[in-house]
Amino acid sequence: MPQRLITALVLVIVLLAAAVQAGCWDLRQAEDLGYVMATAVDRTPQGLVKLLVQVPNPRALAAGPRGGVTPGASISSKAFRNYEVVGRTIFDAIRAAAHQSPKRLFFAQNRTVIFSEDLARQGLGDVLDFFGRSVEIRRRLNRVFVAKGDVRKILNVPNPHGVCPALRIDNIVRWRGQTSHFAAVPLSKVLETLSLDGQEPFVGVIEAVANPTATPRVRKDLSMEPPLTITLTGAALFRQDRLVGFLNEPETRGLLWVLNEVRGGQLVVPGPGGKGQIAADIHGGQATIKPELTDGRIRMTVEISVVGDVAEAEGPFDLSKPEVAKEIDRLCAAAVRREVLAAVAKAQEVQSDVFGFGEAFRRRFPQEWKTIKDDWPEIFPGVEVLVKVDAEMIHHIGMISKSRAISVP
Amino acid sequence: MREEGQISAYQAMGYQVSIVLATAILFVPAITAQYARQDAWLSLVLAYLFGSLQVFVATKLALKFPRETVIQYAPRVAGKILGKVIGFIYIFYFFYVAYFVQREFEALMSAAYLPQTPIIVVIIMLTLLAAYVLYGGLEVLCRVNAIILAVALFGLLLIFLLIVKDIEFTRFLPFLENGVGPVVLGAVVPGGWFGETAVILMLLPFIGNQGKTLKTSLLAVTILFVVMEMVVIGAVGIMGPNETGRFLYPTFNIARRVTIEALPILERQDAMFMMIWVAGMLMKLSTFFYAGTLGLAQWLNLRSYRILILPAGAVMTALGMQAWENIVELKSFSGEVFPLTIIFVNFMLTGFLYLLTFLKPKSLQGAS
Repeated sequence: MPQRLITALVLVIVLLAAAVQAGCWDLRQAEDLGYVMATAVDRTPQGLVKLLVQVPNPRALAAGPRGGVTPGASISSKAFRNYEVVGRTIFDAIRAAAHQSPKRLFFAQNRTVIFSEDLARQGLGDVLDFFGRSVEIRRRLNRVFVAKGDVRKILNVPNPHGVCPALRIDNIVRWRGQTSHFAAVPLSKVLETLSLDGQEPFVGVIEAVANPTATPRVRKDLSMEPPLTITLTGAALFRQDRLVGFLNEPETRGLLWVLNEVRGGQLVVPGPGGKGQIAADIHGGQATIKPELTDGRIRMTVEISVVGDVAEAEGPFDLSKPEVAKEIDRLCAAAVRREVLAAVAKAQEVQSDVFGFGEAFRRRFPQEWKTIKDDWPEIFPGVEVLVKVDAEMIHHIGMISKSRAISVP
Repeated sequence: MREEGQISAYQAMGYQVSIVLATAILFVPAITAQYARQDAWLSLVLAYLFGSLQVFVATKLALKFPRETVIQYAPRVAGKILGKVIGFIYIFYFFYVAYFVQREFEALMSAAYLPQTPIIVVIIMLTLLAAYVLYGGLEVLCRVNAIILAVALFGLLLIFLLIVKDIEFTRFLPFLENGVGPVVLGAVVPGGWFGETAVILMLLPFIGNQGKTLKTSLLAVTILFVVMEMVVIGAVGIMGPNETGRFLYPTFNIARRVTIEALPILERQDAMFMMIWVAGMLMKLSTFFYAGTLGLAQWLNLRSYRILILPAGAVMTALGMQAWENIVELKSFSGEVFPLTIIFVNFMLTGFLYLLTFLKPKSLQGAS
């Protein structure tokens, strides 16, 4: 056969092959996927895994916020769908959801993982494996929470801003620096902390609370206020993989101070001289943990430097005076110190070293650590913790120097 | 046999970098962190010294025979029979790593991207592409490599810059927690990998400016060292040694976890990493495939290696398919057996030949 014919033949075969092979085994069209945005895990009394996944409805989301909130509107305009399924393991439950979902559930966009309080108290170890192993789950982008109360209710709270609860949670997390009053811990951090001897994990807490502005449901009222609202609050403390206690909001910030994760927040302290009060706007802080070992006694010194501004000064203060500024610095430092000490007290009470004092000790005294690491949960509550805070809150004082001081007792 | 074409010392350096890079960045951090934990970076320093020694010996040996590859002069140096055996070991080593590379490529591709695709398809695609590069010859290979390598190194640097803010330097403490033993153990695997730069034994006769070869060879190991340090410091500094050791592909994972809250568009850099890595794997396979095929042609005294490309590729693929049942076998093999075998070839065998050249100075005469 002439060379040219062979070339032509090969070319034809290649082109034909290209025509029928356009695509691949693993082709997945975007419109065939159900993008799971939030995953909640609970355990049934029989010990099975109960899984709730939230899949937004892109069409309704694109149409604007009316869909999710209107009780009378047609069902197709609901902005999301929650699938609840039961299985022996997480993967089993996910595949069980395929009986109901017309789209293949796809977890790469999942950003919120919620565990029920019951499950967390029994231990997360078993169910966490899936989240660490799955190639679809992005460890760093997922935030882990413990739910107080019924997760079905939480993930079904309507709201005109951020219609889909999963997206709303994600955005509340984004603005966590407004208060630093709740924890929003990435899944990666939880898994990494679990692999350490000298540090215990903690996660945020999610709750649906009553909405004080709720209006009674009136038929055809499209603009009703929902009865509940989603809130992120505080932190849940773990020992190994078991939930052992909660921190309230100021305590949570106390914890975040030590971990260098305070991005901002409000700090209300009594005014200088005991009159009125000052509200400060925290800009951030820097903390270092210094472990000390003297005669077998372990002491942790936490040094924190805080920077911020005065946002409100309710009282007869002249903020233009340096001595007043000094006094405010001192009061704010004391308030930060109280937050940290409260968090330490709570953590020691439940024997959960969420601060990583053990790790700090290991880094400083590796040989001594080897002898005590197995007893660390018992030693940790007895560790003396010193907190030194240096606050600088008068970078800016807003637009006025002297407060008006009307009607302050 | 003389391969047509000529490359520069810097192109050879690119070849040496590519022959190590793609699999080393993926597999080595986990293996090193398992042994040396937070001192993994220090293991790399040891590995760098060891790798430099290997490439130094290999280059010195190669420079004694500026017109020939190791396959050609081994029979003169070590005697006819032993020399042919040594030559065959080198050739087998190139194919052996090549089919190991095929499987490593398949391992991540099917774990992360193409779980349904039969692994043979993934492997054949890459191998055919590498065969195409080989038909182009050494000059083409080196030019393609220069482009791919530039993009890959820049991309890795970019990923590193995006994650550098997440590195916690306290994770590297305490220093030498368990003494130097684990650090030395951790250095074996990356040291073996760095030693792959000894491929200069096959390249030297085609280099134009041979005077620079020693410098560029050491530079190649240095580039690899810097890239590996970036990857290991990134992985251990972000995830801690425990998690780094637990992962199959820690580098892939740190690329996935790029997060900049203000710029969500920069999240999920796995696509970028994949682009770098697939291109890098193509070059890694091509470099070994080329060295093996060229060596085999010279061993058999053929006029051109091109006739061997497809048969050798087919045999290589078949060997790769049967060698490991699954990722678990591949992983334990890559940590325990593989580094010792490549150290045997690149360090012991090369060193042995180098010593022989001093004992038999007459063997050098045919060289010039």
